[in-house]
Amino acid sequence: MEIAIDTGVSEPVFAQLISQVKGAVLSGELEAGFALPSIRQLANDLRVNHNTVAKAYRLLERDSVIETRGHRGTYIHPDAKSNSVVDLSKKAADVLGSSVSTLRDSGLTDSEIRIAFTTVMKER
Amino acid sequence: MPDSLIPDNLPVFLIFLSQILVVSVYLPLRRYKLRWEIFETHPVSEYPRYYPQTIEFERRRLTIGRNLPLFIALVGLGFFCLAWVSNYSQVTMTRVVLLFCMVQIVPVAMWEIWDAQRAHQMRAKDQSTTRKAELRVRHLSDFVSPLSITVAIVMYVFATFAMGYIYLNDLWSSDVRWKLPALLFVNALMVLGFGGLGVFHKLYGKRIDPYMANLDRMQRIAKGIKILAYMSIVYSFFILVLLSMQTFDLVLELNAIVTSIFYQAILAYGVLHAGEKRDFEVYREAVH
Repeated sequence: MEIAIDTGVSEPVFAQLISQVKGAVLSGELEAGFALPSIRQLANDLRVNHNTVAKAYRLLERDSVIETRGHRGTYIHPDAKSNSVVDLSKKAADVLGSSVSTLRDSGLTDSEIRIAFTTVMKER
Repeated sequence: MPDSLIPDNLPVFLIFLSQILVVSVYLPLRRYKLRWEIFETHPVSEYPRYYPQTIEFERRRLTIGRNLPLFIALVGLGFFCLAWVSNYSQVTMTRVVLLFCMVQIVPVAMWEIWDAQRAHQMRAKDQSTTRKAELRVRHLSDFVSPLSITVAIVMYVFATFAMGYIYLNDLWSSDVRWKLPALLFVNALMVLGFGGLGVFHKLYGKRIDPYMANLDRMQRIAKGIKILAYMSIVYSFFILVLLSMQTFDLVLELNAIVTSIFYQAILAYGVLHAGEKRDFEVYREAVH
């Protein structure tokens, strides 16, 4: 399976990687147990920073789409198909969207909401 | 003056002549022809990505790449004639053959450096924002059979063990005898060390040519790894043959012959497989 990224679009590279891996899992191109390339190999092939690929892998692992088996490598998770349906980014956007609407309705300005959001993020 | 026109070490002379003709005449001309054909059939106007420099610059390099080995061949033929007339001894001829290997490698190394520079310039000029990669693990065994890898390792370990055994049991009376096997052993160590690094870089390192199609890239990786694996096997075999010959006081004439054949075969493999079909469509200008 070939993966393609575009560094000229606003969507971050790690997000493009995540959506393509999830898309391939949902379409059946990547099946449970399929071995994925190492972070180094993929980053060098795509000519992107290793940390970018590492971040994508970390988030995919958090979502249980992939799993790391020690030094043996990274594989597609047995429950990857069902876990790929859950879009955590969309879920976060939905929750934040409704919160922002509520705050705006209560009379807060956008800059006040931003300051409050930054403060909360720093505290937690 | 020698009594006969035929020198005493005729096989070494013949292998030296073959080395001159193969490495400094046939292979450079073949490489020149292949490159020239690529330039002719893939013009700059249609494949601009393939030419990070001007076509005049590329052709100038091509001409140097052809003429330098031919000059070396002329020098080699001069040496050959001198050695023939003077009936050089076996030891001297062995030295000449081995030293000439080093001279002949210069244009080959020059080509490698030029290709690396070219790829670097391609990467610098690459403005495209899209990049592709195969989402597949690459293993050494995808490119060379596990049997070859096993044989290479076993032969190397065996050669090391044999050298250690001879040294520890003091089977050779003279220290002079150690010179060539020791040199070869260090060479083999370097081949394995640098070869190992090269293999690692090929498998997991950065893309050299930013445009090259994935299939072509895999073929290149396979070629490089195969050369290294076979080179390691032959080198270990050569060390073992040498050790046996010296242990049993056999004729050392084979040293130069085996080295030269090995050298010619490795270089020929590299050049003769360079003309494989590859996808040049990737070097066309991207349409936005």
